[in-house]
Amino acid sequence: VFGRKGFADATVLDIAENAGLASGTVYQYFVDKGDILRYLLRELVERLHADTRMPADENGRLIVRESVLRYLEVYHEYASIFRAWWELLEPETEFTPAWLALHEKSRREMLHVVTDGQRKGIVHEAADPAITADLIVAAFERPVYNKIVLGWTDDSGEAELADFMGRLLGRGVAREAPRTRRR
Amino acid sequence: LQPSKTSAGQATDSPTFALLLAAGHDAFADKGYAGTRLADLSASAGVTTGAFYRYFENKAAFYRAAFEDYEAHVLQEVNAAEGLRLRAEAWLSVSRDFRGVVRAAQELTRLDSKESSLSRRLRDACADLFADSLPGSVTRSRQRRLAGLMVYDILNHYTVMEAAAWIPKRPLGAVAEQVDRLICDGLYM
Repeated sequence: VFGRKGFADATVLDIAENAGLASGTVYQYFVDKGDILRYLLRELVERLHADTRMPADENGRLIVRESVLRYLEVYHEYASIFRAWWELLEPETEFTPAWLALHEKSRREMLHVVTDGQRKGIVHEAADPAITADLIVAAFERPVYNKIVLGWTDDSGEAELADFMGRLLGRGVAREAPRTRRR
Repeated sequence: LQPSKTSAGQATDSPTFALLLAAGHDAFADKGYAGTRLADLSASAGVTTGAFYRYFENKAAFYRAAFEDYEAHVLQEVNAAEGLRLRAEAWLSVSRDFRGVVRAAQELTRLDSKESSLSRRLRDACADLFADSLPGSVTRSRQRRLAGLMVYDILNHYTVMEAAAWIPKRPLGAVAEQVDRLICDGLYM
């Protein structure tokens, strides 16, 4: 229901009807629609922590394409919750801090990827770690949001987005493609 | 050329129109779209609510005018800049000035919302300008298109994050330099 109507327009009655229940039954479990969303968000955050870790290959490079595909998968599964969540981010609501915590975690992890990569000599020296980390977080969050929550497909499938992200973080778009072709 | 008119039929080159737009930027930046009351907005522009309604039918019409003002500035500045780095910097700089509109756009750009088409139109136009500014070594037009959209999405999200104070405020020249570097050269050597 949150996915179809958005959080603001959804009512407990809609949610009850969708579940084939009386609204009284819903109120036995939840105080209000905010309470339902809080429950679903907790579930989503746990899922994100468990399932969207970015693995690295034997040289310490992130395996980007697979990570993007898995992120897209979780996003699809929880599209309605993401939609309601984004709707409630700005202006700030009680749901903003949970988002911020998740966002901070992504930024910290990405900062580590950049600084660690520079130490290993696989990330460009010229990359400013803090700025680059935030740009990569943006490159993950926004295109996926546009595609799944706003329905802006850009005539491109999800595999193409994942390929492109892999290329972007891999060697960029302006350098020659590596000689060995991807499978 | 005919002077443009607002939805309520008033000329857009009047000082009151400019005052209302400026007050709108501040109000949207501080309180967001939903939190902005037309009475407060009019008062900070030094006009009555009645005067507001002579220019705009309602808050949505006001948002459209504010967005189109932002859009015109962004397109002009990005177009005038050469190369991806300077175009990215121009985009970031105008959008920081118009962060109230960017914030309101984030609030209003929802699945199937009317305002969504405004945001999408600007994204498409800017993505083309970014794609045009990529180095000639990117030969496939599909890659250029995807890269242009990616630049836009990154810059847009960056501005939203900055406006919401989720990230620190940094010199935009440095940010644009890193955008250029990341898009063209990637993360890994």
